[in-house]
Parts: sequence; structure tokens; C-alpha cells
Amino acid sequence: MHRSEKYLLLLVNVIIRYKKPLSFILDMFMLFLILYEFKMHFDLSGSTLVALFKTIMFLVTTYFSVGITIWIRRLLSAEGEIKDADFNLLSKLSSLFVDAVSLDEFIGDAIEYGKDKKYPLLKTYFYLMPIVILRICSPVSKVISILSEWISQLASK
Amino acid sequence: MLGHLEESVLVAVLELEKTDGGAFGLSVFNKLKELGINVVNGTVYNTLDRLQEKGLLRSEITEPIAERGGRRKRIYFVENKGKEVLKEAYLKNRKIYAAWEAGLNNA
Repeated sequence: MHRSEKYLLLLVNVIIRYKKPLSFILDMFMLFLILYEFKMHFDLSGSTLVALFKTIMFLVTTYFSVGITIWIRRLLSAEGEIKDADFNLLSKLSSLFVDAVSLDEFIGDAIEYGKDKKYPLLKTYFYLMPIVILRICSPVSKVISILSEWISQLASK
Repeated sequence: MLGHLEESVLVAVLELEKTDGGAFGLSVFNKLKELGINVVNGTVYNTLDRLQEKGLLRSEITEPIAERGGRRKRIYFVENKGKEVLKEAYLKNRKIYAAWEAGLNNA
């Protein structure tokens, strides 16, 4: 297998594994190593490497945000209620960023927000989505900026 | 030192505490809208968390409520430290606006 194909496979693996919040940190580290090898192989400058890293991160974060959106939509039944089985699943998966009590609070507020509206399901969904995305994206963006800083420092050596 | 949004959220919680006996995320979000402050709802929750970390707010979790699909509610209350900080901010703002008013009269 060609070296670039290996990189591509690793990158696809990173994106697939991104669905699990816990593996995210490991994936970021792996991506960091891949990029560093890229730098050595193609003799890229520090700024090109950081730009490349940020582009990949942007694509991955967008993918992740879309994933959360689909997740929340699946959580809501046709009546605008949250299904318990899915709620438990969400609690488990998001426990890294949102604790169960806070999630209970957010979902409760979202249901209360949507209940007197013309389209309760949509309103509930749109109230909940930015809260969860903000909670998850905030630590993720911190990790991205720390890693960008690392890469930039390492590349300048 | 409070940020503008923190100050507004603290005022909203204080007012809701008097009118409704306590504030929760959605009611704070609605109160801010009433005051003409339009922010994303997620920002309201983050600000409430930050104020709690600073010891200016405290919260209590209720029992599950049927109208909320059996979900619990987090009720926020302003701590004494929060009231003091808010009073300081008010006095500081009053000084600034008094100086501004004096400047206008002299112009």
C-alpha cells in the first residue's frame, strides 16, 4: 500500500472514531502524529502545517456538529417528547462534556419552551441544539487551539 | 469584576427570584429577551454556570416535573456576594453616567 493511502485510511479512521467522545483525544494525538510525519515527508513549513491542521479540524468539527444535530433529532419522538432509551444513550455518550443533571435540565427547559408553540417538536429541537453544541464544541475548540499551538512551536524548531 | 452579560443575567435572576421565587435557564433567557438583550440560549447557561463558579449564584435541583416530560429543573438564586457585586456595579455605572450627564450639560 502506498504511503499516502495509509494516511488517507488513518484519516478516515479518525473521522469514523470521532463519533465516540472518549476516543476524540486519542484521535487528535494520532492526527498530530500524522501531520508531523507529513511535515517531515513533504518538508512543509510551520504555517502550512498549522493551516492544514486547522482545515482538517474545521471539517471534523463540522462533521461532529452535524452528527449531534441528527442525534438530537432522533431523540425527539413525533410528539416532541424525548425517548428514554435514547436519552440514556445520549447521557452515556455525552457524559464527557455534559453531566446527566444538566442534560435533564436542558431537555426539560427545551420541552417547556416548545410546548405552547405551533411546532413544539421543532421548537424543542432548536432550543436544545445550540446548548448541547456549545457545551461540546467549547472543550473541543480548546483542544484544537492547544494542539495548533504545539504544532506551531514544534514546526518552528 | 462583572462582564456586561454577567451583570444582565444576575439582574434577571434577582428579578425572577422576587417575582417567581427563583429563576431557571429558560426564564432567564426570556427575561433577557424582554430586556432587549438577544443572546443564544447556550450562552445563558454558560453564563449561569460561570456566575455559580464565582460564588455569585447558587442552584437547587427540583424533583422531576410532569409538564417538563418528567425532567428536573435547576433553580437559581442570587447569593449575598452576588448582591454586593451587583450593587458595586450599579454604583460604578451611576458614577459613569453622572459624569457623562455633567459633560452633556457643560457642552
